[in-house]
Amino acid sequence: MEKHMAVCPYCGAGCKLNLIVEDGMVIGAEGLDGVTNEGELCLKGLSGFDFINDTKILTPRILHPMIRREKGGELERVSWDEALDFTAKKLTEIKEKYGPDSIMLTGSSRGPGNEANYVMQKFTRACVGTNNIDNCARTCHGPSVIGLMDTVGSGAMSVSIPNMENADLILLFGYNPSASHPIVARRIVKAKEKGAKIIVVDPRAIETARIADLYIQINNGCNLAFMNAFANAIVSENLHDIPFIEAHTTGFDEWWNTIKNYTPESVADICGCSAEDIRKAARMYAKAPNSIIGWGMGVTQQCQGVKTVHQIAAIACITNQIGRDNAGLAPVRGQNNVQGSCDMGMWPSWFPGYQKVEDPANREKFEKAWGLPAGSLPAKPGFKLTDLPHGVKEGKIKAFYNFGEDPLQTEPDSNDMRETLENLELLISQDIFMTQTTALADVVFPGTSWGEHDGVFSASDRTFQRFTAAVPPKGECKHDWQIFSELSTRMGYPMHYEDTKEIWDEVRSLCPNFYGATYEKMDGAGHAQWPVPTLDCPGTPTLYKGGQFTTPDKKARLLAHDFIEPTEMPDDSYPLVLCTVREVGHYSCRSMTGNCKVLAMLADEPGYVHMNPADAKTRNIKDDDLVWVSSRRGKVITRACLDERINKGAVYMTYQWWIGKCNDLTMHATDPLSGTPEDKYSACEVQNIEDQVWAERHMQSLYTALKDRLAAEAAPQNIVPASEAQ
Amino acid sequence: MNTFIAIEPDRCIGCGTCLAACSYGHRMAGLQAEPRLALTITPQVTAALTCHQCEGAPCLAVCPVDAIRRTDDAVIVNEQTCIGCKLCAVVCPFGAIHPSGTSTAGVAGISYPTPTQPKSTSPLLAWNIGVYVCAVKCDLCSTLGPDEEPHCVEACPTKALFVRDATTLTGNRKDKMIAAVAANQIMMDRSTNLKEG
Repeated sequence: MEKHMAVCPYCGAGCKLNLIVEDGMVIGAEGLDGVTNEGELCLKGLSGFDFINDTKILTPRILHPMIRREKGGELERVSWDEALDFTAKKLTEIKEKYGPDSIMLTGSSRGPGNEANYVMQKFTRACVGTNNIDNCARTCHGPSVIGLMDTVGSGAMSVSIPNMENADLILLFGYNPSASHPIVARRIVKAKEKGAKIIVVDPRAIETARIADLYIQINNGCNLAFMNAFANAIVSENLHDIPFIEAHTTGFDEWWNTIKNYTPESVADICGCSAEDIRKAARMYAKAPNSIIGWGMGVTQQCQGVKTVHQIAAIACITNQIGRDNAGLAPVRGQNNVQGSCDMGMWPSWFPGYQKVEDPANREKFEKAWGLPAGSLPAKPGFKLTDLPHGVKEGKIKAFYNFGEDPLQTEPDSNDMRETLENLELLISQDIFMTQTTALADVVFPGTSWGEHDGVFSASDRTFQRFTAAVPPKGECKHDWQIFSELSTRMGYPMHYEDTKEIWDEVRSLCPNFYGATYEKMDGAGHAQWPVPTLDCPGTPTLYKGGQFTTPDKKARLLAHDFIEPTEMPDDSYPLVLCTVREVGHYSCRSMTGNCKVLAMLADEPGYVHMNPADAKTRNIKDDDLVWVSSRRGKVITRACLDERINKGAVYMTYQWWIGKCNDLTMHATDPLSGTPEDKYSACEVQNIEDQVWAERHMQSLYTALKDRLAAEAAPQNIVPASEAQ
Repeated sequence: MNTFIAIEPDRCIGCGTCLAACSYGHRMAGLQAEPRLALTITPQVTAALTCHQCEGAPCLAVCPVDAIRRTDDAVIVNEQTCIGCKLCAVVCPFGAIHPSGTSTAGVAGISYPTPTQPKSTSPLLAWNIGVYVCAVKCDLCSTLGPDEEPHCVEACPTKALFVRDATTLTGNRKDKMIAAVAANQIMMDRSTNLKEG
C-alpha cells in the first residue's frame, strides 16, 4: 500500500488528502492536516477517488486520441502524431482563413492544475495569437472578480478560510456553504460555537439558517435592492466609519446620492422581508468588532451580479469591516481551481498574475519572456465564454478548444449550446471522460486525470498548494501541458517543458505576486498564500491591511447602482421562479463524481426539484413523485422533494443531473458587466405525472439511452489503428 | 448499558459525509453498501439518525430466524441468515432498520433496472426484479478493531457525531444538568427565529 499527497479536486476549500494506492488502483482517501481542512474531508473528498480507475458507472474514460475526419462522421482512434498533425493543420487553416480571433479556448478549473492552464494560455496568446481565452469563473464568480477589482483592487477573498472561524459576525448572503463547501461550513459552525453571531439572508432556509441569530428570508432576485437598503440603514443610523471613509475611499458623496433613496421601508415589498429586519442586520453587522460577508452564486448568477458585488464591497468599506484577519470579504470559489484559472490568466483581458493585456508594458514583458517579436501579442481583450453562442451565430467564432469542461451540461440553455457546438467548424475537447460535450467533438484528446499528474491548485482564499500523481497515466493519456506544447510546436511556436516545476518556475518569474510560492515551500502539507512577492515572504492571509487597497490610488472606489428586476419574471404560463443550486455529493458536470461508487449510490438521476409543499399541493404532487418541469427553453423530468425550507413561488434544481437537467430550462441572459448568466432566476412551471410507474421507466430509459450513447461514442478508442496493429 | 451513536444537531450541516463513510466501510467489510444512518431534515432540525442499540431490542425479539443477535455493544444483523421478512423494520421505534439488496442491474453498465412502483412506495413494500433484500442497521462498525471509532463518527467533518456509552453518558448528565440551568435563561436569546417559529 502506498500513500500519495494530493489536494481534493472538488471545491475551492483546498483540502489536503492522501490517495491510498494498492496494485496501481486508488482504493481510498484520507484527510491530511492542510491549512484549510485540518485533517477533515467531506463526502466528496472521502469518496471521490475511484473515477480515476475508470469504473464506467456513468461514462467511460478516454484513453486514446480520436478524430472525426469529416464533420458528422464517426470518431476514429488514431496515433498521437496523427491526432496532433490533424488538429494543427485544421487550426492553422482556420487561423489563416478567418484570423486568430476566430478561435476560442476555455481553460479548465478542475483537475488539471495551474501549470496546464498556464501553458494553454501561452499557446493561445503566443501561438494562436488571440486573447480568446476564458474559464468557468465566467459562469460563477466572474462578477465577484470584476466587481472587487473595480472597488477594492483584487478579485479574490480578502480573508482566509481558517480565519473565518474567528470572526465576531458572519453574514451569509446568497451562499449555502453546507452544500457548496462543507469544509467552509465547518468553520462557520466553529465560529458559532466560539460565540460569533450569524446572519443568513437567503430565499431558502439553508442549513446555516438553523444556527443563525438572524435569518431573513428574502424574495428571489432582490439582491441589489436589499444591499442598497442595508447600506442606507448603516449610514442613516450613523454606523459608518467616517474617518476610514475619508482616508481610504473615494466617491462617497456620489454613492450616497443613489443609496439615500433606498430606505429599508421603500424596498421591503421588493425584498419580501420587514424593514426592521434589514435595519437589525445592518446594525449587527456594522457594530460587531469584526464582520465577514460571505457570498456565492446567489449573488453572482443574477443580471446585476457585478453591481451587487460593488455594493457588498462598499458596505465592508464604509463600516471599516475589511483589512483585518477576521473582517473582510469572502466570495468563496466553487470549483477547486477556479481561483487558479483566474490567477493563470485564463481570462480575455489578463495575462497570468492579473496583468492587463491592454497595457503595452505588460505585453512587452511577456513578449520578451516568451521569445516573441515586439508587438506580436494581441492587445485587444478577447471573447468571453458566454460570447460563444452568439459569436458562432454571427460567424465570428469558428473553432472552440474545450479543455476539461462540459458546457453542454453547465452552461444555460443547453439546446442552444448544442446548436452552437454543432455549428463550429472545429470542436476540440481535451478531457478525461466522454462527456456530452466531448461526444460532439471533432478531436478528442485524452488528458491525464487528477491522481495521474502533479501540479499546483489555488484554493479559494488565494492559497497555492501542491498535489502529486498517485498512479501512472492510463492508456495513452498525456499530461495536458504536454498536449498543448506538442500542438504549439506543430503550429510553429515550439514549446517544451520537462515537468510541472519548470512551468511553475516560469509562472513565478512572470508574476510578481506569486514569485515566493516555490515548490519547496509547498512541499507536503505546505502552502503559500498570494501575494507572496519574495522568497522569504510567508504569504498573505489577509488583504488590504491598514486600509491599503490594491487599486491604483490605494483607495476603495465606492460605486452605487439602481436596482432593476430580473429579466424573466414569472407569469400565468410559467408562474414559478427556477433557481439552480448545487448538489453536495456531486461536482460540476458530474463526470468525475458520477463515476464514483459511493457518490453515485448516494445520489443519482434524475435529481430533485425542491419545492414548498403548498406549491406541490396545488399541483397534486407528492413527495418523491416524478414531475415535468418546463420553461420557454425546454422540458425535463425530475423528482419532487417537498421541502418546507423552500420559499413559496420558487423551485430549486441542482445542475449536476444529465436527465433532470436544469440547464435545458435556464435562459441565456447575462449580466452585461461580466457576461455571467442569470442562472438564479428564470420562469418555469412544474406539472405532476399521473402514471408514476410509466414515469419511473421512462426516466430510466432516458438515462440508459444516454449512457449507452456515450459508451458507444467512446467505443472506437478500443480499435487499434492499422498503423499500430503489428 | 447500551452504546449508541448520538448527534449534536446544531453541528450537523447535512452534508452526508457520514453516509458516505458508512457505505464505504460496510462495503469494504463485505456487507450491504446501504448507509445505516438516515439524514433527517425538518425546518428546524438536520440530523443523521441511527439505531439506539436498545437494551430490550424489539427487532431482536421478533426475528423469526434469529438473524439478529446482541454482542457486548451492538445489536447486529446477520445479512446471510436474514430472510427479508421486514418484521424488525416494522417494530423498530426509531425507523432505524430498513431493507436493502444488491441489484444486479447496472453492473458493468450492461443491464438496467426496471422500476415496478413509484419511488414514494414505502421501503417496506418496495421491491425490485431480481433483488433479494435483507435488513440493514447500524452495527457500530462491528468489523472494526476495539480501538477504532465507527466510520461515521470518524468521518464527520464538524464532529457532530459521538459514541455514547456508559462512561461518556455518566459524565455528560452532570454537565448537562448544570448547563441546563444556564441554558434555560439564555435560550430565547440564543435561539434563532426559525426555532421560535
